[in-house]
Amino acid sequence: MRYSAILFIILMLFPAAASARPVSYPEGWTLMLRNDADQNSAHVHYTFDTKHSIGARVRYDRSRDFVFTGAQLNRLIKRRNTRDSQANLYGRIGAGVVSDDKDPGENRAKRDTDAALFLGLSADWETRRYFVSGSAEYWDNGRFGQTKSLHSRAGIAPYIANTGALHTWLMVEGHYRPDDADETGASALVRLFKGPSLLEFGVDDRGTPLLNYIHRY
Amino acid sequence: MKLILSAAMGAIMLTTAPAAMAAGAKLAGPELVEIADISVELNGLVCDFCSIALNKTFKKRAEVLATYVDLDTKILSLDLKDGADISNDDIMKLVEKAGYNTVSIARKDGSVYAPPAK
Repeated sequence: MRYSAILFIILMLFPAAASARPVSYPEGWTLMLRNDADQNSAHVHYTFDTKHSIGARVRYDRSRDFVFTGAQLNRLIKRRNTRDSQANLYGRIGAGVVSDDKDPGENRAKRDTDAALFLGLSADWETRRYFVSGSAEYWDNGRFGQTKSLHSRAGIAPYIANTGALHTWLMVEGHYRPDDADETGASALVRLFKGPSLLEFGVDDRGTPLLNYIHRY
Repeated sequence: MKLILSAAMGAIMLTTAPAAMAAGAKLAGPELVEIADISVELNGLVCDFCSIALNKTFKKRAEVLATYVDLDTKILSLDLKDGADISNDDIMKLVEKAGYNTVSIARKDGSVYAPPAK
């Protein structure tokens, strides 16, 4: 319990998300895939101006066994650029439907869809050596219930790579999900970053692997 | 004789054209820094996604032949088409559109423009 409280405080210090930047450059497309103990998620978005992107999101909630399918709007609320760093604050909102992830052949009586909504806020601060981010999300999943989560992440680059070279980051991520049986958890991961592609792989404290991928077009 | 000469010229053009194109294509890399028409110093460059955003944004301009972003020096190098030019205001707008801030704009003629700090 004490561990949970400490982690919660740490997460609150970084009041936004571990997800990568959801707004690209104007007229740019981005594919974001996230796979971990909590979810399998795919988000494709189009950035239509400097501060907004819109796209489609499909997310499978692994613990509750349902699928969200809907649209997501991302907004860059604030960016601060300095010579050696960049800090961002993002908001996002999504709306769609949730449904059982069951084979239709199983003939489940409750197989149906509900409307769903989610809200998120995330922030990050990054230099070429250090990275910190945090996020908060709220989901209303209709008959599948409501969920809240906080994530934070810290990373360090063991070497500084220039344009086009392979960039490597070593990161740790913590989460707090008060609605889950395991409220708190942590992951260790490696981020590899080259040109328009970003790949992350790692494992959480329960041994569940994570694999994330981002590509900007 | 004229036919042989024409054929020889054609062969030379065919063999040297790919090399010339390749040389032109190389200008999109670090080599561009030395011959750039405009060098733009920027704030906020921390990763390769930053360089992609700037390259894509500037390459949409008809005046721009090639671009290169150096994360170490925080400089965007622009090679312009012959006779083309881009104003400092346009450069700053494009930089801002990509999500970054201009520190200074240096041109091949030696002039340097530093926008007033906001």
